Amino acid sequence: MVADDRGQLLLLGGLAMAIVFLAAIPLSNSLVVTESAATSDTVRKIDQTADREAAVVRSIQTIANRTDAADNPDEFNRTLQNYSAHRLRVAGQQSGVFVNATLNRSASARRSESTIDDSGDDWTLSEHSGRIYEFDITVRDSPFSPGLSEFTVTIASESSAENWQLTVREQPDDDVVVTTSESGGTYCEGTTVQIDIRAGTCTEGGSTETLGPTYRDTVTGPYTVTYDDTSGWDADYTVVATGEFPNTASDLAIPYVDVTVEGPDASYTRTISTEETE
Amino acid sequence: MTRGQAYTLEGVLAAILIVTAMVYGIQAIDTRAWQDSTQQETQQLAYRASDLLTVAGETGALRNATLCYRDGRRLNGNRGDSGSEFESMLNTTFDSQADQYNIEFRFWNESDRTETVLVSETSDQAVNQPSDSAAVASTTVTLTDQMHRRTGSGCNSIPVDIQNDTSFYAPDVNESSALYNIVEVRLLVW
Repeated sequence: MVADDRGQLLLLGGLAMAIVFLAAIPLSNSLVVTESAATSDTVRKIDQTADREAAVVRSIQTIANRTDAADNPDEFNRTLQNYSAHRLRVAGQQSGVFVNATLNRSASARRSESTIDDSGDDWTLSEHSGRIYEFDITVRDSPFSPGLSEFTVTIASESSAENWQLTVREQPDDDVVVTTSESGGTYCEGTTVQIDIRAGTCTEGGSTETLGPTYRDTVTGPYTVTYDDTSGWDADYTVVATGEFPNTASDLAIPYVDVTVEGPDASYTRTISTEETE
Repeated sequence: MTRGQAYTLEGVLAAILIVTAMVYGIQAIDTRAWQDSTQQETQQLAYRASDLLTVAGETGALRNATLCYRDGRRLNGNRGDSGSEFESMLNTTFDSQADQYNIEFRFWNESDRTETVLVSETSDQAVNQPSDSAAVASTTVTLTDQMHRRTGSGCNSIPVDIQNDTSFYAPDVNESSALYNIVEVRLLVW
């Protein structure tokens, strides 16, 4: 091409640019549309998975409630197996989603109810407790000499150095008082004090006081719960928590269930609580 | 300026022009996937149907409806205030919007196979024929032996366990366990 052809060259360049321009817009747009369509499809699948899981959880909680799962774990587990088989027949064969539910005893929350060991040793109530559902202590005045006796409940984090402590101390006038490491104050002076550690309250003579920040406000789980220096104390406790109870007997309280879902869109295993919400 | 430099400058300017035009172009057009109005309506109906079943399942209204149905007591959103909670939800979500629906229960029957029954009103067969653009949503309800049967317009509980009610539409799939049956509820809306 020679210098005289410059006009033609510019024309060709202009045409080429116009073609690139026209081609690029629909191409870019189709990429955006494809992404948008894929996102919409993903959202729909996530919605379906969430709805299906909610229905499964509801069913398991219904079965747990109707079979008294905590008192009849074997019956509960057998019913879960029947549920898995029949759900596959009724709904699973159409949707291609297989659901299997089995009782997970080791993950379940357990209940321990007893008199606090008064041997004088420090002892561990529970370990690896991811969740404490209930923790109540009833303390009556100590038979020990006034002012000499106290014991401490420590809830320590297993993932950090944080801990929360509650101390029950006997006063010179024979009354007991409650203090916590967070508030520093004294609460509920009297001869018989009921302490709800989870709620962070104590009750004496019908009057309830708040103990300040609770362990849930200050310590992250999983927890280790220990009693220190409980010798001579007359006290009962009830605790419902996940984890292990190395020194005391415990019974199944809130069953946890392993739910395995295998389907075309998602395959996973989750451990769910049967704690009734309805 | 040499010709080469001029062409280079021209190319750079052209590139800037193209990029600018593309940005304007993409902003000016609707980038959603193309759908006709029927597809959009079907999608909306599917979401509403799915949400209705989810809420009814969470509140227990759906379970009560499965315990209430019998051949002479079909589910009908037009029952008004005297109807059950689930029927009231149907009325608010679909009947009042002039949407039509069929409700089916699917369960394991005594012949060891699944059985599907239409449980919504079927007074007008022509009206109750789903269109091609009908939306479908489904969920499952688990029934246990000791659940009480429900009757009447308001689906009120009566002290009769479903395992002792021989007229109940679904059989006990396993008499040795607390599980009675599993009902898949399918809602077709159009």
